[in-house]
Amino acid sequence: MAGGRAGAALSELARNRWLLVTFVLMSLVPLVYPSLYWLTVICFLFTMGLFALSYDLVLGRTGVLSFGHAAPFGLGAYAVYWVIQGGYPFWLAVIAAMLLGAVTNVAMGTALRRVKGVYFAMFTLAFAEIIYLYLEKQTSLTGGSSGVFSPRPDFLQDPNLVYVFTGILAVAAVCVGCYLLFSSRTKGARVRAVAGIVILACLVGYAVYNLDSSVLSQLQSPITAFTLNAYFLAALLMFASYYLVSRLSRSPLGAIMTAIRENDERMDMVGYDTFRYRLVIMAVAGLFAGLAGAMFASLASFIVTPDVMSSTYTLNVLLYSILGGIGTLVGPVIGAFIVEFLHFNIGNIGSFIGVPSIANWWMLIIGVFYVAVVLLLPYGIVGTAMMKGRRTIDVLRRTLGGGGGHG
Amino acid sequence: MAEVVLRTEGLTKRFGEKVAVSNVDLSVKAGTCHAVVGPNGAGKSTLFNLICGVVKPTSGRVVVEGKETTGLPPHKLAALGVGRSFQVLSIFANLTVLENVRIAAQSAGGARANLNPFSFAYSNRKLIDVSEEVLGVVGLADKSPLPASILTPSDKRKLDMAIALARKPTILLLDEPTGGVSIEDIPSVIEAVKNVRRKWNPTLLLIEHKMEAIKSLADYVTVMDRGAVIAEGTTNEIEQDEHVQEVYLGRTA
Repeated sequence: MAGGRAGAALSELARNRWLLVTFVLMSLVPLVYPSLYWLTVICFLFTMGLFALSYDLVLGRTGVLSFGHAAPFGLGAYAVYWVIQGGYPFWLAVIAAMLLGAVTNVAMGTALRRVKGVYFAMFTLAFAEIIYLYLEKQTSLTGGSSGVFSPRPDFLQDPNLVYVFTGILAVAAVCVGCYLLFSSRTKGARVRAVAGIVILACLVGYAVYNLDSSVLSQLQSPITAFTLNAYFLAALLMFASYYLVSRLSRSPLGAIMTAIRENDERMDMVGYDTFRYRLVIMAVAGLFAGLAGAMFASLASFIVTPDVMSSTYTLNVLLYSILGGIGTLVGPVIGAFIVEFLHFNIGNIGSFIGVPSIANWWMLIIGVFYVAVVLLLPYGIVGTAMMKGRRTIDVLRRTLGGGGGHG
Repeated sequence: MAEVVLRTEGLTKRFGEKVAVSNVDLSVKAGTCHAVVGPNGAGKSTLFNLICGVVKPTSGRVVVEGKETTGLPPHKLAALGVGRSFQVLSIFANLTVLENVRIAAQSAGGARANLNPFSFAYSNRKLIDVSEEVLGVVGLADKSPLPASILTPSDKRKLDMAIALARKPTILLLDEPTGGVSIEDIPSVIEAVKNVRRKWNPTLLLIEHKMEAIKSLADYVTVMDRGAVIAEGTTNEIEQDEHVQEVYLGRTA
């Protein structure tokens, strides 16, 4: 077999093939369908996807119910504004946002020593609301209820950066291609590999053909360059975070998280200080929530109001999770994409079906949607699909096995 | 020569007015199997909880291998070599049988190994080997890929014990290992405990109701009633004890 490190890298690549494929496809969007509006929307979706992902570490993976997850997110968003306002570079601001998110979550998590479950949820709700209500009054810090404008980072307006990102994309695409080629041992896999490479080639070909009319031809305009760069950076951050989180799930800490969710008393008895491990999870989730907040402030929204720390955002992230499937990692991300996509397009959908006023009913629609998902898909979209899929595979295996099948 | 590895001195626990455990002095010798028996509500499980640090005593001390452990939290006791199974089954129902034991074995690595983000948990050969060995000893080797929730009650009891054994404890506390197990399966659970003794010979402290299990496992028996120790001795002595028979069979006038 291949040498230790190379083999490990290849199997790591194989394990994350879908992540990589999705990343490549998402990054091709600006080339294939260049619309500044849509790129901005999807950039926002990436942000909320990462926010949902960070919440799944806490709720889905570790079974800790926090109703204060908007606090690390919102403080992360403000941290970026504050640090950039202080004249420091963007990267420092992002790190500060992540650290502030982690510290906030750890401060909240200390209550886990005394309370659990719903009581902890109530505590975190109060904790986050206190931060929100306090900071909303500090007009000089937060701009009060009308918020502040977080400036677009200068370096992201550089058209040359687009080529750097395109380069990263090309490397990722080559990785996918290599994987498809080298991993195909069966006939079916080889057919899929060829199909995949053809699709990839078609997309790139179309992008090149489209070059004249695409945003790429207007790269000299700072706003175009910024939108593209922000899109690539947001995609990169979200997919990299997703990889790190899924990698963490397979590490010893990930196993501990799952077992704490299953039976925390027993975990204590077999020798784990469950409180400390919960705190570590809160810290890690806070890091990613802070990063999502940073993306919100400087890549996706720019207008930051104290609302980002309020329970509205916590309820949103809860909605994404329940909709997508708690504990599945990918579920909450998909949930965030669906909800925010609908939110952005409710007006378009309304005019399409001839009821333009439907946008006024957004909260009602989302409420009905929520109830329907809870009733019909109790494990969320991804969770239910995974269970159904597993059941189908089981049935197939049993049927094939029972039918005297061999080989 | 057999030294005392687990000792309680005047251990007392009050829940309000109710005295659950009253002034219990217990000495468990290394390598023996010591059973604690008594009618329901005698304070046996509370005694276990006090020893394991789940409940803090009102007064008294717990000494494990010469070290005072009174009031230490359960995870610290686990690190000192105290393993425990539960009266009300405590397993990770949605994980596989192997993972139930593997996660327990993993705790021996300490915080440094457990927080290493670059290592893989589920493919750690060393931990899997340890877990498979333990599962083999309790007789669950062939069930390791199954989800724990579909095991029979007797297999769940064995799994509960296997989780406690994963860190190779020097003292193993078994809270009713045959509880909820159907009569025909009891011998297999007893056999599993015997196998564990043959393999590692941990000091056993056992709560049991079933005479069959006590007779075939225990060297010493402590009888509790209403929180207090009322008799203590070898299994044979206790069997002959009139006072014990009174407690169990009803007080004659």
